[in-house]
Amino acid sequence: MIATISIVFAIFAVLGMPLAYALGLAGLAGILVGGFPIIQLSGKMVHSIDSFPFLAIPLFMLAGQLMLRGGIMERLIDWANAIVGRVHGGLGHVTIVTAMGLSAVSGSAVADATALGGTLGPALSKVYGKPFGAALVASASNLGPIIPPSIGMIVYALLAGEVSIGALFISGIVPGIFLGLAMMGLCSYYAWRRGYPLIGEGFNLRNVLVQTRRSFIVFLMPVLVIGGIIGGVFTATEGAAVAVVYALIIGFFVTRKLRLADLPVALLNAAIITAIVGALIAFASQVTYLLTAEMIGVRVGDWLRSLTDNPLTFVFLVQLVLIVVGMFMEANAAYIMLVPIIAPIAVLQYGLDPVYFGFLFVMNITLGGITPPVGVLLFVVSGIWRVPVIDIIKEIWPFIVLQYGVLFLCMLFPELVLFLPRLVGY
Amino acid sequence: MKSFFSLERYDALLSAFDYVASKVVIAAMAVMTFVVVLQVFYRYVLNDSLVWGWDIPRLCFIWAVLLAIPLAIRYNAHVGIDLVFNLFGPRTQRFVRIVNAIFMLILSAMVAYYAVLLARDTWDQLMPGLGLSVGLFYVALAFSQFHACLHILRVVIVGEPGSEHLSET
Repeated sequence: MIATISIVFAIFAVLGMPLAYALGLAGLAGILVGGFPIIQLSGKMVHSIDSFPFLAIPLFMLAGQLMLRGGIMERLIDWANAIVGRVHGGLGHVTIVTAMGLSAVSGSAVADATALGGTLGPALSKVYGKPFGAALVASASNLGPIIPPSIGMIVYALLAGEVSIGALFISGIVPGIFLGLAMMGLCSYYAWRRGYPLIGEGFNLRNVLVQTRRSFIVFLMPVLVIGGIIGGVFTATEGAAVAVVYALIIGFFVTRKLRLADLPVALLNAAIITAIVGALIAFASQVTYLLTAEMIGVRVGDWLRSLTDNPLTFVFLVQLVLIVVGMFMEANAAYIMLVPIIAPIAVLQYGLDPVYFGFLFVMNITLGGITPPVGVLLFVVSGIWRVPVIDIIKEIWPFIVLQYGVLFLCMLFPELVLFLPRLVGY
Repeated sequence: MKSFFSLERYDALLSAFDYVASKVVIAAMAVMTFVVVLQVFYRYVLNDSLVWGWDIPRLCFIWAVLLAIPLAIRYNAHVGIDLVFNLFGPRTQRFVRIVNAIFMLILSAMVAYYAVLLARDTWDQLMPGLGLSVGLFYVALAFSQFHACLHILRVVIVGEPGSEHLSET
């Protein structure tokens, strides 16, 4: 049965069928081989998406879209400019600082890349040239799912069970800021070596304060929402709903850039993006069920333990596998196929901290968005700038090395990941 | 003379389905968001809770997500691995695309058919907090997969994917 499922899936996946359908057909094949009633296919599809935490995905997508349509980018960029505008390679720093701010209200790297590319794109290509600008935006967008809120973390928690979304959210804060600072360091190095000019206005404390006050409304949202989720005031889904209300108030009454006509588009977009994840989870539900019934996770775990008993070796091996997976597979598909099998092995058989392992998993899969040959963010920025992906790859590889470097630091020093969650009592 | 069954007519039919589905999705999303917000308000401000505070959002969520699946097919938004596919010549690509679509069509049609049976079987069960039938979940799945069949059938007939793409912002 496992062989049938794997072969059917592999054939259709390689032939370019949408992965949701390839998984669905693999499940159908499993039903036919195992002699189960076919009707359970339809039943499991509905049951698999009938879950309250799942609602947090469209709600956070919606909140992010409404904030963007409400004109927060302009305020974030002004704020970043006031702080880091006047240094060599300042625009690069502005991009990264803006991305960090944006990441605190948006949970999707693709949405961040579109927003950053659409606003900072023209200036970046003028100063750095298109390929470097595109590489920078793609790299900075990876902060989206690392700094909370994070769609990737919600999907991971949904599939792994046994790990709290709030704890995962907070685990990303320190590594996210660390990653942002590291990328700014890399930017400075390039600015120095390539002699990028000083641009932007000089540092002025008054301006910083003024811009911080203007951006305050943007940053208040994550403080309220993420704070509320972490503090146990509300669930991730309720927090996401509060974020939507917050975004509506800001858009309609503070920035006054949001229009009623924006709402249907934002609602539909959020639903379609959720449907991509939903289709994967629903169509994969039969395969997940059969693999669980066949105890495939336990068997893989036993086999792995015959190779090594050392948890750190296990984590290291998983990270290497995920790097390869990230090169070829879109993030959600990777979560849906791997998390139900690997997460229980990590926690139950190797005794790893679920938050530590979950964070490394999400961060690694997120970084896969900029690794060739298949990197969603590479395609997005290549589309925005009309630059061939190969030119972007030539500029982006130092960022890729840097980001995986930070990942491995987080792996070797779990305190980076676990310090904040423990501080608030997880 | 133009045939009664033309691609234009088929596309018009598809667009009509897409239009209706997107309106339902938007309405379901709006209601879902509103009720979750209302529930938060009731719990934290009024110290009360709504008996249908969970059933309505989950019903709306499932309708929105399922009905948006065929729309994602229209926008070519479902993820796949096209690394090997891109190595094929145009004729092979067309052939592979049609073969894939035929299998997808079979799957969607089966899911839709069994969803109808499930809806019929569960029609008398009511959701605990709400006087609505549990069968409504499966009605959404049946609609979704029937609508998906129409989009996939277009690929089978034409041999090409649609030209539209989704933008996240």
